[in-house]
Amino acid sequence: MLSPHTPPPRRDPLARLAGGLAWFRRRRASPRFAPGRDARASATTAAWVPPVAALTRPAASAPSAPKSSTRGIRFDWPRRTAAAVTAAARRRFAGWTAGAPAWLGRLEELLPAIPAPASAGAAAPGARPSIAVGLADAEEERGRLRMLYRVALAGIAVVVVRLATIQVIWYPKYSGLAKRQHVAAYKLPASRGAILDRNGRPLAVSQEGAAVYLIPRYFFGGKDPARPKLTRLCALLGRSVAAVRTEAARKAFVWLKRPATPAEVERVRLLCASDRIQGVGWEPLCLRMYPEGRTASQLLGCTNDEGHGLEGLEYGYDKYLHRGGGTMPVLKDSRGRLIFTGGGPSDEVTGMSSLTLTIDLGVQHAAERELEQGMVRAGAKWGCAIVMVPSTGEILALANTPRFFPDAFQSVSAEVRANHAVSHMFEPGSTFKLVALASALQENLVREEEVFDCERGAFVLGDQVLHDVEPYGRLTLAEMVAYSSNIGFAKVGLRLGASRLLAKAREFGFGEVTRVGLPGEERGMLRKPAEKFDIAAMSFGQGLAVTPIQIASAYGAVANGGVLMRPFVVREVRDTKGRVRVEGRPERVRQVVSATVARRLAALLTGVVDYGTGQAAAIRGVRVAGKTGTAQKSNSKGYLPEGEKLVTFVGFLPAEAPRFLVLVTMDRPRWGTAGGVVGPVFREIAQAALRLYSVPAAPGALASLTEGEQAPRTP
Amino acid sequence: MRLLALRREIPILVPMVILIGIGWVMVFSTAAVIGVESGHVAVFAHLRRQVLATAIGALGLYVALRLPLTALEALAPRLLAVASALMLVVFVPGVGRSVARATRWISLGPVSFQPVELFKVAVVLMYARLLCAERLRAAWPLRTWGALAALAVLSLLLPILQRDFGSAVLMLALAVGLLWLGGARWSALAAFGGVALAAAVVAFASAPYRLHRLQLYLAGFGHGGGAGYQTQQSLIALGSGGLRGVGLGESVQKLLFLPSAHADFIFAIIGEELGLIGALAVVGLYGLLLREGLSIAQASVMRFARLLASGLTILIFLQAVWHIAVSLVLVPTKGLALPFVSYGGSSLIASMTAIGLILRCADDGVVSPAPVTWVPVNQPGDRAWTPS
Repeated sequence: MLSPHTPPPRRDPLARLAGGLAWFRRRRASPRFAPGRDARASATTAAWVPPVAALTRPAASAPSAPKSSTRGIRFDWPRRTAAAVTAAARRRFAGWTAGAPAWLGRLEELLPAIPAPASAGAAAPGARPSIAVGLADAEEERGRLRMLYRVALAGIAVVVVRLATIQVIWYPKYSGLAKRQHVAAYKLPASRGAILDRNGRPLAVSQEGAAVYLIPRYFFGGKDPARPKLTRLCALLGRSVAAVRTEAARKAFVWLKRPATPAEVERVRLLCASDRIQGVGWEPLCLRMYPEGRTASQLLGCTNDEGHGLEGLEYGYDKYLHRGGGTMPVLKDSRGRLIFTGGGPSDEVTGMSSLTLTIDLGVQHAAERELEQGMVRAGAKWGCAIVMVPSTGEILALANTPRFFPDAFQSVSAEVRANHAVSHMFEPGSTFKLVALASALQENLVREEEVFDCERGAFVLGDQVLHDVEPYGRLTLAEMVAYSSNIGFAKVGLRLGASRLLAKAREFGFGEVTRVGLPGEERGMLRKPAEKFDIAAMSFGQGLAVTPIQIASAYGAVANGGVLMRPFVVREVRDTKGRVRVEGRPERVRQVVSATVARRLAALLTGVVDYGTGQAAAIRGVRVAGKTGTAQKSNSKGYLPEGEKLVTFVGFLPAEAPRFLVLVTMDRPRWGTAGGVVGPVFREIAQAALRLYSVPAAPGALASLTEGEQAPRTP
Repeated sequence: MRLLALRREIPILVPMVILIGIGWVMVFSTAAVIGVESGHVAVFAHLRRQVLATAIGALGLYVALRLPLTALEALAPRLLAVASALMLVVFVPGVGRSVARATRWISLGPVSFQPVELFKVAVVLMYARLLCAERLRAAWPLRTWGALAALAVLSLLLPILQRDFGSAVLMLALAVGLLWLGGARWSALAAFGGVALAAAVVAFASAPYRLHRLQLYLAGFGHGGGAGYQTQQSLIALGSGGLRGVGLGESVQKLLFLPSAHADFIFAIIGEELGLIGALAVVGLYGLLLREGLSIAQASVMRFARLLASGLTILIFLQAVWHIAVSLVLVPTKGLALPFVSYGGSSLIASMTAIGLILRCADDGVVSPAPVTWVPVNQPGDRAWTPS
């Protein structure tokens, strides 16, 4: 049954919101000064109510005030009820009365109990002030306190705004100023990165050192009281006092020790501090050390005291190796003392990169040892050996003899320091016959079994006569190569013609730098032969100039299936952060001859070692392809007398699948032929390489080993 | 005893404890450098002393909490007399100790303290005692004015004698604040201010270097460039802190760029290490202390308690704001410690004791043996007053 009445009014959301707003407004009306203190105030007041109520209105609120409290707590209920009711009322009407502080709240309770005064001014002097006056005072005091609070808040606001201005808006300016006065640039002493071989063994490293100097006027003035000090100083650094004194007598500045190790400098510093020695100082020096001594000295080069490279790789890669004049940002305090907080040099500091070479220290040692011994045996002036990987162009060893100590480079002449492998130009002689041979085979102008008349050692060409070292009659092409007949090759050359010969020479890389990456590399000299004689001379390697590295890379092309590779020494340049800055990769230059022709050439060259001029280079169990070469030395006036010659042997092995190419050159051996002088050296170096890379002698196992050459050898 | 009913104590004790904690950390951060620079590697020396002072301060806080307010009111003149005497003792050779032209220390063997910190509290007590007898907006008798003026002169003179102009300025501001809070008329306040202004003019006129310093300050305001070295360094410290700071302990300005970084410029280092966030947090904590202190003052029953609580709150807050304003180059450089945070035992102990007194005021009605009198002015037996 439905009620006829309207349902009880539901409070619509809007009304509830309005109610909530009203409540919120009342809350806001409560003193901003102590929001949230209402409950606490009322609680405090509640505790207060009984005594106050008892004092002021005993009858009104507690009609049945306990006559005696002996009956116990239950007769206390009227007072407790009154207190509870008052507290509840205060809670209920908190919003209305909250405008007053807690202590004022009690006044409100008092109001009805005490009759209002007739007039505030009418109070007699000495009487208690009226409630109205008291209330007004209280209101005034509360207002002043609140105003004080507002003033303080305004102060806080000013502080906050100023703080935010300084720390946020002016941040860029002040952080810049801070940086300017906090950050100092610490000058790093010059230093150099290390040079390592392909397996990471150090060839050149740097250490911070110093040069200790002495200013004589501190020591040798007046009646010489500093003599014991100087004696101690000299004893510390291992100098003789007399030597220092004679030097100091002439100069105003004397190097006491240069270079000195950091430990020595520290000892000097302590001595100077304890003995109060003045006039002694030191400056940082970059000490370059070569742990392998004289090994690869011409290749590595040398440096000066400022840490700059002067020759060799040190010079060529100075940009990466050298670090000098670099600065590192460090903190400093107000007295300018530097604070190293542990950070390393910043990224701006370049240099100090380490160089990893393709050189294998084992092969290098072997090459230098054999070359040196061979040189002594032959009484040659200098020698040079190159070991290369034909398939990639990597140079495993680059030896020059005589060697020198790179850290004492001043004691040897510039000629000794020269890296002959790249900088020495010479007339190649028979090794250059490769060009004519390759060209003729490629053009199908000759066949291996074709027979040439070698004119019994004298071949009249125009108004000039060509000679062979030994007279030969009729020789096949293979024999011609093996015995190295000049006359035979003159005929081949003439058959080819000047332009084809020259073009093939250029294709093999002659007359152009190989870009091996070493400073001082020469291009050689290649001219188009004008006359028939010149063509003939060029075909057996006269009338032009080449460098050993050109010869090596040209033979490398034959060993590499006709593809000329760029030879290279630097495997990678890595900076201090470990990033690779430069990477040496096998680089194919061009196909010089077809693979078939390359194979035929290799086969022809094995004849040289098997039964020809290079038999001394033969290795048991491994087929070697190679070529001897003897060049008459010349200067600007013409050929030098007999004996002034340069002998070369270049070859690769195993001939079927070459893994190493070795070139050995010696200057002015006192006796013997090319094969006899450098052939054994070639053999020893090649055998050492085979041993070090564990290439077995059995021909059947060779094919599978051609791969994996790029991987560094594991020691 | 409501000592354990901490409802009222917590809102004021918690910010204080946090500030003291920040103080320990920052004192270590800034003073370790000074400890190392002193020659002996005394990294913890300052922190150790600060912790010890905190312990003594806690004792002072507890004692203040147990003192009856009536006794405090009664003893105020004697306390002031002792404090004033101690302020003069610093000039006795052998006992007093000077640091950089300013003689502010009493040194007794291993113990040394700055009497000015005690003096400040005693002055506030005395103001409260003098003012609580007077009605608001009434014409106060000449005797009261005489006593107030004498107190004001004393409170300015003694710090000035010690060349402690920061404290003198503080005392002046405190006098104005308390007089106004105590109910002085605007006209009387204006007259008081006029006299103070005249005194300031005389002070500047008599010492040209002060004028120069003021000019220096005015020149640097707003730009922070070209101003005195300290102010410039303070701005660099704060400015390089940025929003989030360079990190706790990472300040570089404390490496002797900013003089007295552990005391007079500790806020600048807070701003540098903890950034705007940390600096605002510290300002906020002082704001909390102010709010709670004044709310206790407002809720107190006795007029003496109200004046004492507000006076001490203002004392602490003013010191804090002045210290911060010095760091922000809002006011001229005057060495004032940041209460609870700066290194300095005397300041810390005095400030903690002041907090104890403020809390004592919160309890006035409860523990007071006398019946509650809500009457804001005259107590029975007080001097008669004439309604205006």
